[in-house]
Parts: sequence; structure tokens; C-alpha cells
Amino acid sequence: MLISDLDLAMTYTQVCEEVRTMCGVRKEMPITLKWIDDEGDPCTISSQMELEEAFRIYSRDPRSGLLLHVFPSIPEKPGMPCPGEDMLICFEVAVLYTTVTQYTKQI
Amino acid sequence: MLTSVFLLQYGAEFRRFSVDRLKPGKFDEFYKLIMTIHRIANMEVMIGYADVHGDLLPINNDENFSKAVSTAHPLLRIFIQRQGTSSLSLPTHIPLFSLSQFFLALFVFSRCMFLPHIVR
Repeated sequence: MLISDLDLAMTYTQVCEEVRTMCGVRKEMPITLKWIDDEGDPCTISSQMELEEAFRIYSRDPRSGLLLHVFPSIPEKPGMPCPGEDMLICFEVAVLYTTVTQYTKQI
Repeated sequence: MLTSVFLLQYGAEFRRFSVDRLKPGKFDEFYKLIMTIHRIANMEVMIGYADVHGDLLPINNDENFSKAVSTAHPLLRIFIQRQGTSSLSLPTHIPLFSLSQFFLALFVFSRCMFLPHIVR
């Protein structure tokens, strides 16, 4: 999900609640939040300090928005990707690529 | 506040946060933080970072932790590996997806985009 106009005062707990509401994920279901940083790495957010880092990078260029990947799951073990993570991100990249290509043709 | 950014990698899991460059804290606190944040509190791990020459150097005391922080410009990549695996080595970058998966997804999505035109 692409989020803009973020309230940078939101806490990690508040962001999780907001994401659950927007994505229709029940409270008892686990979720994992990740964002792609300026190095191209998918960084997990599961604490306030990690959220603040994502906000800090976002606030450098608010127009670009903060792209959050939301997984209705957690990794099977620490160090592993979320189930389905590779294809999901692959799909999102394909969507973005196709959208940009279509838009470019129209110009 | 001058910040240094720690980018931690454990397997396919990346985590990132900022610290005060002038007060990064002691190694013990940093170690406990890493264990907590990555949820690997019961594991024995080795921690290292890549210096400017690309050599992987260990972080296991206050001195080399402080040295590592001083090399952050402002990002410091830190690698975490389980002890008992081979000696500390730079992990192969784990791609999120392969090129073939990307083209498969592109093909599927582009077909979906054309469907409304066919129906009309």
C-alpha cells in the first residue's frame, strides 16, 4: 500500500491498528510491515525505533510517499522472508513497471 | 543530532534504525538490542561489518564497535550470522525474486489489463 499524508506522530501501535483497519486484517491475525529503503532493502518494522527511521526517510521527500508492504503473516523463523513475500513484491514491481510503461506511451 | 544509521541483515531479514553518532552506546547494549529486535535472543551469533576496503570485520567489544560506528557515512551495514556456521563472511545478497518470476508476473498482469478491451 502506498501511504501519503502521514501523521508522523503516530506510534507503531497506532500504525498497526490503522493498517489492520485499512486491509481488513483481524486483530488476532499476525501482520508484518516492511518498507523499501533508499538502498533497495525491504526493512521490517516491528518497533517504534524502526518506524521512526522509516518516517525520517519519508519526511526527506514526502511527495514520494511511503510504500508499506503488509503481510498477513510472520516469518516461519527469524531471518526468513514472510510466506509469499517474493512473489508479492514481484507482482507489485510488475504492476509499477506496467503502469509507468502505459503512462509513458500515452504522453 | 548527528545520526548514524544501522542497517542490520540476518538472513533475508533487514532492519534499520538511527542512533546518535556521538553516543552510540556500549557494545553490550547494542548486542542485546540486536538480539531483541531480530528475535534471536537464544542464539549465539557473530556480528560484523564491511569496512571501506570490503573486508568483513567483527564487532565483539566496545573498541571495534566504536570503530565500526565511526565508519558509518552515515549508513553502517551490519551482518549477523549464527555461530557454528562457517567463519564470518559477507552474505550473498538474497534477491527478493528472480528475473523469471518478474517476467511471469508482468505477463499475468499485462494480460489482465487487456481483458476489459476484449470483453467490449
